[in-house]
Amino acid sequence: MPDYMLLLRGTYHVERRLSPAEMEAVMGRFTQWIRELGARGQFRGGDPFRQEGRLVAFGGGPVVSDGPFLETKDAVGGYLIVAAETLDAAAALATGCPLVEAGAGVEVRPIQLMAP
Amino acid sequence: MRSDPAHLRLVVDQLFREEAGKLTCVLARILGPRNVDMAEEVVQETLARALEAWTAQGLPERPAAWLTQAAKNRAVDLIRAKRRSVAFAPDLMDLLSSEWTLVPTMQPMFRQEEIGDDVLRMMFSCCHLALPPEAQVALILRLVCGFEVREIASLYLTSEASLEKRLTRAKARLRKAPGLAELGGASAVAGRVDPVLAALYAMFSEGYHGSGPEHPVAAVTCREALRLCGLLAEHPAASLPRTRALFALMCLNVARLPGRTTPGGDLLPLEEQDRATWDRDLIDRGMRAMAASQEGDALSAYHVEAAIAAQHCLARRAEDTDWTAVVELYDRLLELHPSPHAALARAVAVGRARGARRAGRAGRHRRDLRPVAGAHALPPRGGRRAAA
Repeated sequence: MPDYMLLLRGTYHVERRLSPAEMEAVMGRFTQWIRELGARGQFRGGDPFRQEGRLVAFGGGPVVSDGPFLETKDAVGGYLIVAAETLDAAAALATGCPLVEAGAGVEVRPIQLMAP
Repeated sequence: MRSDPAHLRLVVDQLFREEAGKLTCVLARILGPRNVDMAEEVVQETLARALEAWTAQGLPERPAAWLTQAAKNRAVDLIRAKRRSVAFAPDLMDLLSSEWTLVPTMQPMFRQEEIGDDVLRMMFSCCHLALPPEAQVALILRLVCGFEVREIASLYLTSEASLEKRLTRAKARLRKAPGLAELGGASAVAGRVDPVLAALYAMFSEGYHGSGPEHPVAAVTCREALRLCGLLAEHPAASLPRTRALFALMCLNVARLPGRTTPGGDLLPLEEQDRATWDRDLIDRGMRAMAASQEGDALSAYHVEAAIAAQHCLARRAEDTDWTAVVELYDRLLELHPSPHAALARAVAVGRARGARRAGRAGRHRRDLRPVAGAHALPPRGGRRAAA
């Protein structure tokens, strides 16, 4: 099965909206959901991101600035890599993610295998 | 007072030994058998750090919990440092590699029930390696009981260097095991418990029959064998009648350890042993375990040996011992499991029975202790057991 990256968007926004107890419950369900993926051999890794970052771009020379703005509903709060048969299957899998239920969004991208 | 070095040392030695074993087992489960050395290192470092901290700040309120927490944190750091280059337990690897699941996975594995299961897993794994019994016992004493190498070496009256070699070879076998044996369902456990019982019996015998004066390590060895057998006897699937019989046998012998030797460490004959030193609570536990072992049809050598120990425990004085019953029990034992030791003990019992008959004490059976029904009686030779 090929690998797909799931970019989890707006997770900090979710965290701000929920009470600590509610957030803890969501994270508990999320962890369990990952375990179930693992049991089916579909979990390939992933990590949360701390709520800070830098943007590096080129404007006459390399420029480093604070960013991106992490308060938005698109801000990426972490990623997962999962195995699925197709892009649609990976997306269907992502609909079951407890963070999505809680209001986060997921961007699903297939990992590109580069030609030799 | 709490940081008084002598007091600290006393508490720490006992605690460290027991906790080292438990923590080694849970870490070996998480890191995988291939990394058993890494598991031992984490434990050693944790204990060293604890000694340092407690000497400076005194004993914490809950030292065992302190150790568990510290070992878990150390393990998390180690996993973070090594997870890209080292393979841990195959079924946990993915969960350990992701920060989403690392801590949520580690946390519940350090609960007491989980640790208890991991201790059993390690015992089963050690006993299913293709190793001679002494090697299995040495491995269990090191990994599960937290004995130092020099303590195990003194138990076997061998040099540290050769014991170290034996352990290295044994660990090499363990490292190749596919995973710390999944305990599996009830029938799987029941089917694999005999080597574990045999190893615990060997461990117990090593401590009990140690040549030379009894020394602290031997008594601790007996108590450790008793403790581990107790774990098996509490586990629903491992608690077969013969498990309980072995547990009974150990209780009934450990109970009498205090009276067995002089202060100088020489063995006392039965007649000279002070029965007031016997641990009556442990005897009661042993008798209850014996009653609980009388299920089903299979009579094991452990049952018979427990019954022999029970005969001694039931006698208020040495001369009240029912030597005729003891002879019969040795007859049964020799049928099931002939050994020079049992043959010798039977010969002694025959002599004592003869002496008792001459003194007019034949056949009298004193029941000064509350006998548990059937605790001392075995079914007639060749007959089917009736459930007690």
